[in-house]
Amino acid sequence: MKKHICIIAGLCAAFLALTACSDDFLEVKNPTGEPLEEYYTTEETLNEALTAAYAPLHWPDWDGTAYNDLTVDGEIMGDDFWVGGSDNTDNQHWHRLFNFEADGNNTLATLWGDFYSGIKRCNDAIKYASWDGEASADFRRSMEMQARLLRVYYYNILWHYYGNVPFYLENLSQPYTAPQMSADEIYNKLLPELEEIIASNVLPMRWPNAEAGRVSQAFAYMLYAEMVMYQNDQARYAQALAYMKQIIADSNYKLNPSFYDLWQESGEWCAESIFEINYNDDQAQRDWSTSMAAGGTVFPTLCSPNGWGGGEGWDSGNDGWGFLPMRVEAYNMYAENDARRDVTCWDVRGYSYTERYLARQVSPPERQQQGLPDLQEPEL
Amino acid sequence: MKEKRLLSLLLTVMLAIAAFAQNQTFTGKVVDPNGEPVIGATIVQKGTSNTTVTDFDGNFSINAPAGAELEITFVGYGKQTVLAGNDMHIVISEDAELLNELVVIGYGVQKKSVVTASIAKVSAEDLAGKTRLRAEDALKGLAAGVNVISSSGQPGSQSMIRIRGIGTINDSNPLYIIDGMPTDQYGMESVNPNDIESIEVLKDAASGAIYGARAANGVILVTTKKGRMGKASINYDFSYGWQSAWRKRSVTGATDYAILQNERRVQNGLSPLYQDPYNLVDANGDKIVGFGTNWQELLFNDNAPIMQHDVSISGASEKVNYYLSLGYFTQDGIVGGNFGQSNYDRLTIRANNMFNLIDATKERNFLNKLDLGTNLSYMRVHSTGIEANSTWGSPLGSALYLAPTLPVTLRGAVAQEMMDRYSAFDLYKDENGNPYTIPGFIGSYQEQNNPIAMMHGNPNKNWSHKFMPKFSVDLQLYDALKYHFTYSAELSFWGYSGATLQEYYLSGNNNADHTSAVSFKGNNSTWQVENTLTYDKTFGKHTIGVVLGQSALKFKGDELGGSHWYLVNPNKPSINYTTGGDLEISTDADGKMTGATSLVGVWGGPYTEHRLSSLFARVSYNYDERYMFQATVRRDGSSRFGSNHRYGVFPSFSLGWNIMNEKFMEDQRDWLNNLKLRFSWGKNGNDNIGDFAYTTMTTLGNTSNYYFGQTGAMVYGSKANRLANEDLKWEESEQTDLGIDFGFWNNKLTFSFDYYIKKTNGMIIEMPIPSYVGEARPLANVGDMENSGVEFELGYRWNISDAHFHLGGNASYLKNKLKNLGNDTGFLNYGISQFSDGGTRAENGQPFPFFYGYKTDGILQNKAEADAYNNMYGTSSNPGDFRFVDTNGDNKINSDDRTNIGNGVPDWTFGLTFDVDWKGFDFGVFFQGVHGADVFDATYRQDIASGNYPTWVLQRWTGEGTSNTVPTLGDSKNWVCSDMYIQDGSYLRLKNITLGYTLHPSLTNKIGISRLRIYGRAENLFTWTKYWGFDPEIGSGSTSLGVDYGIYPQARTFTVGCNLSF
Repeated sequence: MKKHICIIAGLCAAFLALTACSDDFLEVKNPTGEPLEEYYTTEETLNEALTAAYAPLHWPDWDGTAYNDLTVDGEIMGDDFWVGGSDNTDNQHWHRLFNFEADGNNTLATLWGDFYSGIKRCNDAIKYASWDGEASADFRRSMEMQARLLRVYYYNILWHYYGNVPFYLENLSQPYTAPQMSADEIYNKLLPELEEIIASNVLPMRWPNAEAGRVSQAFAYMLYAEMVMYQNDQARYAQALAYMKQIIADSNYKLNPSFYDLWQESGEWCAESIFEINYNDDQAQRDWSTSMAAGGTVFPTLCSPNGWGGGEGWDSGNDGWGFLPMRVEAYNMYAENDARRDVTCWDVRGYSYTERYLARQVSPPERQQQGLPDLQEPEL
Repeated sequence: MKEKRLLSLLLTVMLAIAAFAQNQTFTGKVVDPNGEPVIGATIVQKGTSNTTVTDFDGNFSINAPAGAELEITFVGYGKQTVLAGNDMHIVISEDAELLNELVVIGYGVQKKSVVTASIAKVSAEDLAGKTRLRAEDALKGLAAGVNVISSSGQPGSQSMIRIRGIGTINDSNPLYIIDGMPTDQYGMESVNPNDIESIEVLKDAASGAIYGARAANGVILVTTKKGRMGKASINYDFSYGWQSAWRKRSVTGATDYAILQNERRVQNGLSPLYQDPYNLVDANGDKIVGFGTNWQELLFNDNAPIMQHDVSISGASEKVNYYLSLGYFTQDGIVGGNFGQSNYDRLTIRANNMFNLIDATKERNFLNKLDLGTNLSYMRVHSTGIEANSTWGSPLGSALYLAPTLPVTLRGAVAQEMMDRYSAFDLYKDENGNPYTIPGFIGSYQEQNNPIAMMHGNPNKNWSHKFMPKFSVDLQLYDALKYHFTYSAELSFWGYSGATLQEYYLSGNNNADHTSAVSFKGNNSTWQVENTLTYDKTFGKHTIGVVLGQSALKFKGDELGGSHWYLVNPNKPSINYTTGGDLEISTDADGKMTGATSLVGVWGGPYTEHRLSSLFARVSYNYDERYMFQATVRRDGSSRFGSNHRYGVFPSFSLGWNIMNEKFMEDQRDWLNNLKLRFSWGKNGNDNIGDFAYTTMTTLGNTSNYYFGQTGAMVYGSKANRLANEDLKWEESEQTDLGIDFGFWNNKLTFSFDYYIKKTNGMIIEMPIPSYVGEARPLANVGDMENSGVEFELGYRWNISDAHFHLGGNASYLKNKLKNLGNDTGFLNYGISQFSDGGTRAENGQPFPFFYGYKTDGILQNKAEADAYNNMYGTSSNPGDFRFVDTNGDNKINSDDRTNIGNGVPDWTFGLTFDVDWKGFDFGVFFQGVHGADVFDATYRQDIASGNYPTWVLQRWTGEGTSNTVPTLGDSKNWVCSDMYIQDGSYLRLKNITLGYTLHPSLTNKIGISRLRIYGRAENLFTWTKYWGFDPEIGSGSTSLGVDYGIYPQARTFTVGCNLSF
């Protein structure tokens, strides 16, 4: 009996020893991704991370959840425009804000997610720029400053619309919370950061045409002036004025002799333009379901008269939705001979269309969720 | 061929040897328990091919050596063994087999009498005739606790199988093991149900624990057939059936449609469209008579054929055991099958062999037996399919919406007008050259298409091949210690080829402005190596069994796809035979380049590998078959787990007490033969958690791209893919089971009851952290789900003279609760396509998933009621509108009043089988049903202005007292997501009714046929349900369970067939 047990036990032990697998067996490679430290080491890959930090700039107009185009957001609390749309439940959050009836469920909620994503990507870009690698020191410095300036811009939007927001300059880890700071505290954190970026003089006053879209020193000056004035920070007024004079004196920037030309495709990135958010419908990856991809913008559709068929340069079949109509009183504030009036305002009273429309951007090839219009019923 | 020769040689040798032994002729008689002679019982000299059959008087004679073992078998009775002697008188007994029945458990078998875990067994007999394509479908109604929900009636469609409830919001599919090889439902597709010996469902944690990290949702063990000792048995089965839809949806005809259309327009402030609903003229100018165009009638393919051929050859001797089979199955769908749009055909080949290489058991005690086994199977499938459950333009969905006033095709001037409007396209035309009506041309139909026109499209042709080889070695090492080695593999190759043959136009989002060809191929390979040591021995009253094992598994695969525009010849579509180059440049009038379009598409790459490395052990002990104990532990390491939790340990134990075998029960033994109490507890895991979830990697996604430059050039970006959670591990399921089994009168009546609680801990979902973290939240094990329920199983066999009856039934009750979702809000909306304000949802404290929407309480009948309602809640409703319920009591009717309005998971599932056989006739009935499930009827979309109506809309409110269930047609606020769409989905289905006749063996034996049975069968003959839709069984996707978008129904099939055995 004992002999039996010994033999059996011995065989079992040998069995286990011979057949177990090593730990290496369980290591597998990811076919479509790399560990971060191994990847972000060259100028090319670092530029990818920086591009990802720029991407959220174009999300707000439609990010898959809500329409929060910054132009519209900036106007609805004023009195130059109505909100528009079909009724007061159409983009309800804008109507509620306009009437000072906003609540927790009806605010510019998606700006929060969009710009915190931007902040997170900027923080990552700054971190990668600090790693050792093949990229030159100049490149990494420029990348760091661009990411820091973008980050100030993203916080600026959140600061404008929300005031007291969570603030962090390094990405969060467990337990993933950040302290909420008051608007003034945030201002006092952002301005020194902005001043440091300006003082470093790393960013050019204006980027070459091929790099248009990147944040520049002039952009930093404008952001400085805007924040200083919004905060009524009188101590910094003089400095802001000095920056503005610098821009005026700079040979890279001058006024465009034709106001009208500013809003044409040919006027994009003209001498008067300091910063623009790029949209394009050629090579566009953006669509209703892929709203965060690069592509066109929905703003022209948002603010065109409802049912408008589209003009030159529009893909066929798009129509307007009738948001942000201008109030007659605002129109009447222009003098009769003010060259800006007819370029800025599209007078559709009496349905006489003019082709001089605010064709600043070209719209995306929007996919219609609806079929062809009903032949027998006019659209309401 | 070689096998056949070897077999013949062995047989000859054996016969020769037998001839040298002392042979005598022995006679005997076989009777049944009532004393009646048994005709056609088989008597075999054990271990030889020496057999004979009893005659009309039950007498037989056989030439055998004195004292040789003779086995007597007859259909429906247990096998009996006697020693050859003079004037044998044998009484066959039905229960011998049942008492010694074996149950397959993971890595072994166990006698049913000592099983302590909760295992449901379905034998080949139970399976026969219940399913043709997928074996797991046969579990529906046959195994308590197993819920099988068809996803649709489309040929080849997979059912959704849930064992003891939905365990997690993530992947709740059970693990399938085919002859020891772990696989999924795609692997099950390759097993011909005719080749299955038994299916065991391991329901509780104790039985599943030996599969550790993959067993949280239950395990389905499939064992394929082996040869039986004796002469070779050759079987041929054939069946041919006719399938039709068992019900069509009731929708309004032309006149009612026109009336409702006018009414709705008037209520919305527009003018009516149809001047005279009783005298309608269609777009072609033809007068519409009666119903108008009955789209469903036109679309359903009645009497669609379904056919099956199966051949199997099997046999065994002491040295060789073989089972070979060939099966061919083909089915046309009842929607689109006649156009080649919904068809399926499968070929299966199987060869199971076992060779005994060394048998020295009589000479020595070590290394004395060596068996080699090979199971090889091959499957090839060709299929086409249509969208089976969708309101966004599927064929059946569209058939519900198209107005009966629409003609199928247009002719003459109006046809020309349509073709002019769509002159850029090449429209589908019928055989007379008339174009099919485009719904959007006549009315406003959103994405609905002309279903008959859709049938003329070119479907993607899907194909797949699967090989599943298995090699095993069994070596008896020493005494009762055995070593078992298996190498199994699953090699799959699949793909599709498709082409757009013309620039068709069906609707705004279903059209093509260029022809193209596309082709896709993928392949997977999985191999598994397992070494096990087993030891089974009985020492006096103690029986002990030990299993020690090791297992390693590796999965890898890759895919490749390509496409190209502009076919040269639509009759020969392929990627190489296209024109146009790779890039198409567009220029304006001045020749300046305005854009470029790529004509080539290509994608492909490897899949992430998956590897598993495991060690397991099991001990089973019983004392005198009275007290049983079993414990299992398994340690699994998976490549999906991060280094913090690389290995998971899954323990379990179970206890059993055979009260029946106690001394104090001796007096009861004549009527009570089985009384067993069982208890089990264990932990299993679910490792389907996605790959690399525990770490951060780079990702190139299109959310990282931006335009730079004055001309706006795209620059591609990349970023970290997510926030990582290094502690991420498997979802763990802990289950406790308590069961009791009864057997009365030698198992004539059996009854079994189980109660279980299954808790899933650590369900994986995004961590509940604030969104200002700026990135997709890391996944974490934070959720909890609980399923509990009871299961009942009943069986009763009895005889009346020479008729044998069998009644079997099972019922299960399930209660599911999502205790804690674990994310930040405590709920997750899954939605139902056309509703933005409700749908299916997961929420803390509710069953998962459930339907979420407003509750209604009748209709406001008059102004007084409307005013009272408006005053109370600040709404602006009119008579004819719904009275919504203020569920949260805040005196406001708003989105906070949405609540649980039903759910698609049934409370009770049950099945009932009844079989009779008498004098060669056999008759069987099988009922299956569920109770307590709701269906969300999402087939009526308010936003399709010209859409047809289900007839229940005719009951809309038109004045005081006319309706309290359906509101007025106009106002869209009545048609929000509410309990108006919830219907009772309980049903009882006569799933299977069969009548067969087996010709008397003495007749057929003359032509060498040992058995010929012909039969007729009806499937899904009747369904009793309150639900008015196509089918109350809608199992597509675990979060849209029970949502009917126009589901492709299961067919009612009439079949005739025959079974031949040689």
